[in-house]
Amino acid sequence: MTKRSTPAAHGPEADPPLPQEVPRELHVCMGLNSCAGLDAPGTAPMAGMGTCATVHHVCHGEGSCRGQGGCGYAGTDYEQFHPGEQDCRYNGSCASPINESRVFSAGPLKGKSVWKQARRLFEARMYAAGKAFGPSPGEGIKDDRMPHYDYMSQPQ
Amino acid sequence: MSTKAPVQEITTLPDLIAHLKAAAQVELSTVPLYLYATYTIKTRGYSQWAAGASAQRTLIGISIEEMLHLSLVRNLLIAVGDTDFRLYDENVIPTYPGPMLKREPELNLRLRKLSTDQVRNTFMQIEQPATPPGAALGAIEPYHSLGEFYARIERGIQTLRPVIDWAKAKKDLWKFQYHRAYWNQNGGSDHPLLIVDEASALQAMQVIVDQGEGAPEDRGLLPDPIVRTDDLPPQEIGKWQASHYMKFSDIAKGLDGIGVVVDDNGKQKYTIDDEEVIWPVLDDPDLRTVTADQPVKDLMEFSNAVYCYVLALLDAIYRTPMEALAPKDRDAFTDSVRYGYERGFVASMQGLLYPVCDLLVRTPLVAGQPSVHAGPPFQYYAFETKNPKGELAALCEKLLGSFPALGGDDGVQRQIALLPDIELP
Repeated sequence: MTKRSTPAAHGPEADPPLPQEVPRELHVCMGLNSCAGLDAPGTAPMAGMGTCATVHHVCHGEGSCRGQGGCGYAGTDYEQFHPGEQDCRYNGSCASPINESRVFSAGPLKGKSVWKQARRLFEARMYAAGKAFGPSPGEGIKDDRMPHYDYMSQPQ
Repeated sequence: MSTKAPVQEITTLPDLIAHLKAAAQVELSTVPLYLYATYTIKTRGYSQWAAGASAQRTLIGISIEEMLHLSLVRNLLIAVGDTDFRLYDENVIPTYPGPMLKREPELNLRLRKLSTDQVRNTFMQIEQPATPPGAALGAIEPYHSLGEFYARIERGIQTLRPVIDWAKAKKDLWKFQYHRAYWNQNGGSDHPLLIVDEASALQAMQVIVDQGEGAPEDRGLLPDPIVRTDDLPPQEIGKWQASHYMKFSDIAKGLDGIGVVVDDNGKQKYTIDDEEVIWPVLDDPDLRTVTADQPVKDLMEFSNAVYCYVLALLDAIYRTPMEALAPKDRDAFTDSVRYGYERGFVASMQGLLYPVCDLLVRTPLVAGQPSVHAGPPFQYYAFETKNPKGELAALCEKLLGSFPALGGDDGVQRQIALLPDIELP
């Protein structure tokens, strides 16, 4: 049996994703899914309880859709204030998913947690939409969880 | 009669390593200077109506590039086989006021608030362009400019071509170098290079010199990323950056200002010399001699401990190898101690060092006497145990009564809890 690569690792050598592997919603970290089952593994019992991001990208301006900026490392003061809530493709600031120790490097929340701001914005969207949401399983991924885009191989 | 010693070239590997260690100390000695001045700016952000970049953003960008230079020097140290160098070392951490290492004429480095005097007479002197052609060149040690110092190292790298084991650097030692976790919104696009051969070593030295003082005869305007070419401007690149020297010059001239709106006459209301926009911090804070309320002294000592933790964590990164993972093996995530250190390192600077220093510069040394505020001394702090994180947590806990801003669900105390649990050697 051929082993499939994981759905989040769609690099040049990965198999194309199966329909059920394509995220139905794009968000940048745990606790930010807007509906049940829309988190990365599809097991969240309700909004706000997802365990991980459905989009992974490495840096500033690399989000390929709205709402994909992780924020905290680079970006203008305005960009950094809106983790997970950018208006447009390439507007986002910094890598996704958000690790738990990440803080803003600029802007009004300089030195404060990026994930907490992302969650605040998420909760505001949920309140505005009149939707219930549950507790997040955490406040960002562990710092020692290395996303595939930061893997390094032997220099040639 | 001239007393200058004859020119001394680098001809042995131990000599090259000694020069690189001195270079690391020189680079490290600039960072607290620039950060100290940056922390004293009261304003945040920059008015969309004022022209130019803000002095604050420029200073942050330069500080990060000095950290880049430090990482490039240390990567080269690793590449040529020295893996023992440590920044968290009482003999390596610079003291202020103090002379810039091995520089001639002597330049006294002082921790002072941002001012035209500090920019013009210290910062611009640090980044002073190389001795112009035709001027007398001094002996190798001391040096007159950083460009002269690094040119000596470049020649040493080439001289030692038969001696340096580049194959080992490419096969094994690259894993100990710093490569990821670098961002600079306000600087050039060069990043920490993996140094695995002579070409990458020389490129790293070029980045340090050109970003700092500018390449010879370039008038302070540089291609971005750094590349040396006779074809100026290099059309295939098309991006430009100014050298640190030119950036400081723009701040001193008031071109890069404090970032407030202009008055009715079109003039900026404040300059970097106005007390309305700069915290009145003391010069060269020294924990041993400062007169301050005890909680303020404790906070200053805490900032020393935080600074030293940051350096110790950087040391831990350099002694923990990166994993080599083939791209075709990539799963979504892999657990990595080294990666956790890197993330923690960035977070410790932004979420720990910055908030503590920011709190210090807002706080008068003595309650009721607002004319002189505290500042971070950037001094050596001797951890009593092998567990610096635990000691930081205890120091922070002790300060919460006097400085509640350190606590809360998104404060320094929380950030300490998220730090990597490194063990000092």
